[in-house]
Amino acid sequence: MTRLLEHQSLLLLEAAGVTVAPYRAVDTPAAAAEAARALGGPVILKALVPAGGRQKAGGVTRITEPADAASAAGRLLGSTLGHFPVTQVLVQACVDIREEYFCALTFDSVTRSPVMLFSAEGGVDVEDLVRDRPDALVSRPVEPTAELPPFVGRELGAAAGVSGQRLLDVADVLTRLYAVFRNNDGFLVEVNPLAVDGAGRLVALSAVVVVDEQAEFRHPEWARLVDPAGSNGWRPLTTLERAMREIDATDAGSAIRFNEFEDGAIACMMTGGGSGLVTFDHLRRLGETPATTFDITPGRVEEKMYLATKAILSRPGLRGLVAGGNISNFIPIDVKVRGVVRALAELGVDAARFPVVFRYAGPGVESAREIAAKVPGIEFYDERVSLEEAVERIVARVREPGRGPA
Amino acid sequence: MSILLDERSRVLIQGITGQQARTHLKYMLKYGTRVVAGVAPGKGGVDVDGLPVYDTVHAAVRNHPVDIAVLFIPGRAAKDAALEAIENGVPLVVILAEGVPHHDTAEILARARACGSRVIGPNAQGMISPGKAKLGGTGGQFPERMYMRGPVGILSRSGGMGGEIGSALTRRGIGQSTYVSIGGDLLIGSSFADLLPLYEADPETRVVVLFGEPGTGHEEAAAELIASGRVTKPVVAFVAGEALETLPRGMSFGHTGGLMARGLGSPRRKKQVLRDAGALVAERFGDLPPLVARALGLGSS
Repeated sequence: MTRLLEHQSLLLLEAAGVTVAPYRAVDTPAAAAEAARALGGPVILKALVPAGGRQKAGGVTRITEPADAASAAGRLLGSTLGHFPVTQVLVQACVDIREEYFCALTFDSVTRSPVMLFSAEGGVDVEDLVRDRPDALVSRPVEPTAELPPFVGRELGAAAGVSGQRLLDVADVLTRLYAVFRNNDGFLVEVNPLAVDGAGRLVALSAVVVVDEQAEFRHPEWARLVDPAGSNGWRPLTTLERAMREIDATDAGSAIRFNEFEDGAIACMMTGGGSGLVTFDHLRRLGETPATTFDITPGRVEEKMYLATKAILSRPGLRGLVAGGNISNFIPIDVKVRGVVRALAELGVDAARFPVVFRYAGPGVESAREIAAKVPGIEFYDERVSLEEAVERIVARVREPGRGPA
Repeated sequence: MSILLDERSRVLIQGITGQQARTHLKYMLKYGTRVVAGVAPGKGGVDVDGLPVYDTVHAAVRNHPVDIAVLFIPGRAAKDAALEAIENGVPLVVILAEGVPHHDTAEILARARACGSRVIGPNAQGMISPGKAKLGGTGGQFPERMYMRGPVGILSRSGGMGGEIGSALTRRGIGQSTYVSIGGDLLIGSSFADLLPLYEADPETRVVVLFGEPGTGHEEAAAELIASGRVTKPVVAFVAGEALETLPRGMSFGHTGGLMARGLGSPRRKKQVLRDAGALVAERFGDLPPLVARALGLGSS
């Protein structure tokens, strides 16, 4: 899932015919001042980072005098919000707000369909709304059709207590937001608030669009919008995470998923989403943190396993490596192990000093065991030892007295 | 007995000429799965492992009654292939692909509801009724190493961990009725709550194991069903990913369904509601086999 920056999201809303508060995205204090003058009157400055909760984190400022925009933008630019450095600021015209609505579209696992949410009491965090005024938030599943019939929006707005011409206007905006959601392969489209201004018009003051990476193949335009190396969902990618993306790009035949944890000391290469979770849980249960999580889908994996192992072991401060995964159905595991062992041998890893535990099971296990024997000291387990027992082995080994970093 | 799949089930393979399909087709046939035909658009008329190949599902089902279609089709083309199976009246459609766009899955599932087809997946590994038949990648080349016939039903959001459960039970001499890999995506055609009633009705199944993960409302819906009394057979559950709750929000692992949105789908909470509903919840994966043995009245060891 990739969260677009707010100005990119607002642009998608405008293209669908939703009225948005006038805005400009700038990257210098001088440009912020110029934008404030051009927009006229008081403006809102927002840090453009791909994360929520900006208001609470101090990333939103209201400026009454355009002359103050430069210094306020200067404070935001160069600061860090959440984990993201602020390199761009949104300058947005203030709107005379009379009422605030909340609108969102996403998917619901239980109804297995898109779901549309609306509240006539927007302008607050949706978490707070759900907690404090659950009855004020209405929702309904919607059919995944090419266009949303406007009656769906009317039903939802009416359920939230909107009536008259306003109801028709709300339904119109909801129909357009559905088009944004559908046509851009959105995973989430959220407008909070959708304001009613002094003239009774509906104006989007804020927009969040999260797009579904699984649909990237049909959205070449995303290459211009989204920096794939920009975020792993909650912070910018680390150097090692960027390196892993480059390794992954060497061959489209299989896909790597990788995360790095600052405070971890045990490199973890347990493949299979579920086995990665089980391994992670058990490491934490035993008081350890993985330095990495690593998953790879079936395909031509040997070279990627080799490159990935080399990259991971370049990380300073590691105390051991646990590699493997659940019993394989697809990938002959000797192919995987060959890649890992080639990296270990090339790096001159002494598994007597730097503990390495393998838990590989599936086709090719006998050959994998022989390959692993090339690096003396690797503990090799198959399905007779559970994933949790393999985790217990690596934890016991790294805690043996006299162990140092690799 | 078993659920959804047995030695009589007539299976159609869509995308039969692809590399993965050809590999796993051989294993399926060797295990006794009754594969009747294949579909490969533009390649109709060829023969794969002695099976007729058609250009369209329409032509295939006209010549061969089909109970199940298995899609060896990449994510970007899965919607087309799944709609083709659904609109041609295939009652059970198994989508193995990872990476099916959410909007496509929503469309597939809506059409399946309208046409009365059941969908398994996407992002499912397959399924096996041990000793009878297997579909997709489940069990790989040597399914007998991991699965044996017996009284335990398995439903898993992780294909790989379903195999680990099968293997751990089989090594203790506990067999399985049917294992279904239900798929790791946020939107899937058949959830725990959809399939639990099938096990309830299956005379061979005596206990059902669920492997859950963070995100979605599937475990919560299963708990609700159990609490309602509509599932009387013991349910043993494991929910992975509790350690994720110690991480910043927004972080996602492997499965897209693992994305925890707005604090919903917390593993801790899932375990609590399952426990409250009367399921036996394993804290560690290693606790699963003894809990299953206990539920079967075999005593734990």
